[in-house]
Amino acid sequence: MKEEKHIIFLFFLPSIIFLAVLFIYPFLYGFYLSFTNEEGEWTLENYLTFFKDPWEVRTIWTTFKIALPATLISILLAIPFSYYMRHGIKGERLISFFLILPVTLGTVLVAEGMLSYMGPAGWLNQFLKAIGIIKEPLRLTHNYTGVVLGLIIHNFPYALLMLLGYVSGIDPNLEKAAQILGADGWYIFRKVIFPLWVPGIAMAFSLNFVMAFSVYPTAVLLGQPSGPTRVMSISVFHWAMEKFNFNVGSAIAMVMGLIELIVILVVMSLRQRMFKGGSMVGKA
Amino acid sequence: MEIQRDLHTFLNERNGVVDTVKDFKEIKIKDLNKSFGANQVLHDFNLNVEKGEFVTLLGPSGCGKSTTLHCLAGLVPIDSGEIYIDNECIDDGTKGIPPEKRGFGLVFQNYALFPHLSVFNNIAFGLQIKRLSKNAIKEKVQNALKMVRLEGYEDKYPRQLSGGEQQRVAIARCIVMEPMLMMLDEPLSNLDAKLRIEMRYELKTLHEKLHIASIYVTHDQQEALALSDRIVVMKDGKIQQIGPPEEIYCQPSNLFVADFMGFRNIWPANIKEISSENEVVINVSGFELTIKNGSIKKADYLNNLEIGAPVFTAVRPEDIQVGNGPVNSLRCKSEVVEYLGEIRHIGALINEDVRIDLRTGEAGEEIKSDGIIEVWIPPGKILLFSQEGDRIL
Amino acid sequence: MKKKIRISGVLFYIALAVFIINILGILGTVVLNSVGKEWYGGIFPKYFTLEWYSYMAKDHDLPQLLFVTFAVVISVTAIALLIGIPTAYGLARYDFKFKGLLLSMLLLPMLIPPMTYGIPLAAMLYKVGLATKISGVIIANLIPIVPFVILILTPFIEQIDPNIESAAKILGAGRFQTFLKILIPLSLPGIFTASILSIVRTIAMFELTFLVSGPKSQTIVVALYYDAYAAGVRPPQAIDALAVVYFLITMTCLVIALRFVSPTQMVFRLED
Repeated sequence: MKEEKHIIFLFFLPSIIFLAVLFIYPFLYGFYLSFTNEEGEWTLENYLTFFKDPWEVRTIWTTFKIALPATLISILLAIPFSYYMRHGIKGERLISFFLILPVTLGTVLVAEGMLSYMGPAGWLNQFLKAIGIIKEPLRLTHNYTGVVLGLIIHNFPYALLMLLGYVSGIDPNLEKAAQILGADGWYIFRKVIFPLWVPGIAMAFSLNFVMAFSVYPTAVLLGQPSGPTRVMSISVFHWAMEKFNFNVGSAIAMVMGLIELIVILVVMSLRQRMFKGGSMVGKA
Repeated sequence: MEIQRDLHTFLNERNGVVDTVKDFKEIKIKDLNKSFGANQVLHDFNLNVEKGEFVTLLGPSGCGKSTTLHCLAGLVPIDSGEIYIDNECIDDGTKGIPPEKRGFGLVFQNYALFPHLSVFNNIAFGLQIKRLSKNAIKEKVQNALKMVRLEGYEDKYPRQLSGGEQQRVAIARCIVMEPMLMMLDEPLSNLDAKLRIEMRYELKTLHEKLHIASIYVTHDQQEALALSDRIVVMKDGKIQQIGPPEEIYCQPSNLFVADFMGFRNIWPANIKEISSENEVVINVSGFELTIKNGSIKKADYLNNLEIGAPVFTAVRPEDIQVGNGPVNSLRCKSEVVEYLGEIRHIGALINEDVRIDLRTGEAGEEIKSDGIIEVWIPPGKILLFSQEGDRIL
Repeated sequence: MKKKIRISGVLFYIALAVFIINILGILGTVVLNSVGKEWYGGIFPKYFTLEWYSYMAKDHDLPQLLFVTFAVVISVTAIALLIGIPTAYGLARYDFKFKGLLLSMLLLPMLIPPMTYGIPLAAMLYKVGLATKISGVIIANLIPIVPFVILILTPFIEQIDPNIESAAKILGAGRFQTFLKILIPLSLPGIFTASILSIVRTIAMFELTFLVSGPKSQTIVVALYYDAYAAGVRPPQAIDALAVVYFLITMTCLVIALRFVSPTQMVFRLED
């Protein structure tokens, strides 16, 4: 029915307009800005401004140096944790509450709290000194370590809950079947759970990496935003919102988006190569 | 006997694999108890399964059938009780042999095939853990595929298979391990009606060939009757009756089993007269029935029954005869006539309080709804139960 | 009953305890600092006081801050529902050629971090003159929330038996009436879940609000960031007082949300 089709289209109209105006158009606009100067003439100047300045180019490396370890640590920690929690555990509600807490409160509050808690006179250093592990307070804020720690505290629970969502979706009968066929715990993990979990892990890694790669408040508040933790977001913000040069700002944002896209594509293709057979989660 | 070759000889005769299957006589389950929280799902469960026997656990959903299988498999720890293979205790509630060492097989209701592995690797999964040689694995998988008639499916993935094919792969994965005991948890319930009957037939054929001791769980009485050597009827975690299909079908030991086995006419009644040891007259609201039954289940109980004591009586629809009989003649008014091909199912009213279901063959052709029909019930076909539901006669 | 204590279990709970203790430490420091005076090391502050709260309230025009925050949160949720419900219904009920494309387009704003698309967005909003205004903040926050609401609502609507709608139509209800009298009431649990989760997310959304807001259109979290960024301008205790206000609001919403949804639902998850 012709009429029917029109009506179906009407259902989607609001969100199509929404997507077009608020998401696709700004992207295209940013793309356009990045290739033009303030007079609206086409130019590569904006990209050159970024790539010619070693101080700016270094932000790429700095961002990787922060985002990659933070993501890897979060995911590698989250894998055993979520594996242990896959069938539900005692006190799960309370535990999940504490896990969701830093995710919900957001990076700003966590960073503000970490500044005091992990500062030289904070509880953490007091405690470590009291039990005799350290003599001098550890420097955990206003440096690289602070940013990575801040990211992990925010991203680890996020990764954990996400991985938990995937692994608990794997039919528990598969484990039982494998067990009856003679497999021990490690064998089940390697041959049954892990292969079925890989798509989820790849997805969790990608999302966490992208989140960490665009880190802003954590890098500013917990790090040294004018030096060792000057990440790409800071550079973008600096050009766009402090110098009010949206052209260069957009150009750097485009570079940032491109890098994120490349990393996602690499992870996804690795996943494809690792396990060709199944990407289907076993639900019957 | 040639026909009764057992599984491992069948699978091994051509590849000369060393006999690894433990020989055993029977698996004994003693006083098994299991609770989930406050909910006791198994009460003092006792069962022996002999080598080569096909036993079915039959009961409505939630009666503890699946839990029994999972306890036997070692997937769920038992609270108390013992499980023996001959005289060797494999689980006593404190320490149990882990599932992977019991040598039992389990076919899951949803098949639980590994979605990321090919049919070959699914079936070979357990053999690879045993570290058999590549050739031996190949040989065994081929044989198992042949048994379930899926030759040539090695390289397919579970998602490419139909429900029935997945079912067969699951069975192949189980039998290839040459288990002492094969457990099947409602294996046919996810298939459509036609396929279910086909697969039932194949399961039976397979069992005739391999003679693996099997415990089969179902809620479908037809399946249980068709497949089993013995049936265990369960309700609320308690065994109601154990016996061969004929016995369960014809001589239910209580009202629940009778109801489950198709005694659709269950009426409350009162004792009118106890004529002899095996002849009783009862009063069902408004009419009398004479029961004369050869098997007396509870003679003591019967002797102590007083006149007027409340009881229950049960009759199968197909045992009710149309026409005029020597005893137990009844007149009823038919309400509904359902044509079912060979037979007709008639729902009728004897009086305002008592409904009767009967099945007729050709004799029912003339019966119309709203017509008056004469029926009679042979005294030997009526069962008598105590008020608590225990079989008396 | 047998009780086996496994090493993996012990390790799991110890590691988890370490994590939770640190989270509590971070939050505890903030709360104690906001009510303390002369805390130079040591486990607790020397004196307790509430003066930082009145300092902070005057410093920030707290009523204005709260008003903006709630105005933004409520408007975003309401508009997102208005846009999201028809789409979620369409996705749940119909199959069409470009469904996959539409779905992935909807996923993108949730997958791409706000810092990546926020700058072009801010540039656009500055151009049309909406930036630094509350309306600009609302528009920016809609971008990740609309897809979020759609993804939460769709499975709820899928669960409603289409025959119920057919029955209503056969009984003479028009399309609009069916929508209003059958579909909306039946999907109320989903609408409720989507609302509460979108409220939690919008309150905590920093980046987008940060990029497009002006001094009069800040939400609490952005004000908190500016305070922390310009540490030294005002006493740190006053910053923590604002942090506690933010913390209490978010916590309240979170506790309400957790009564209705599981924490795994609050984290984005993509099915293949």
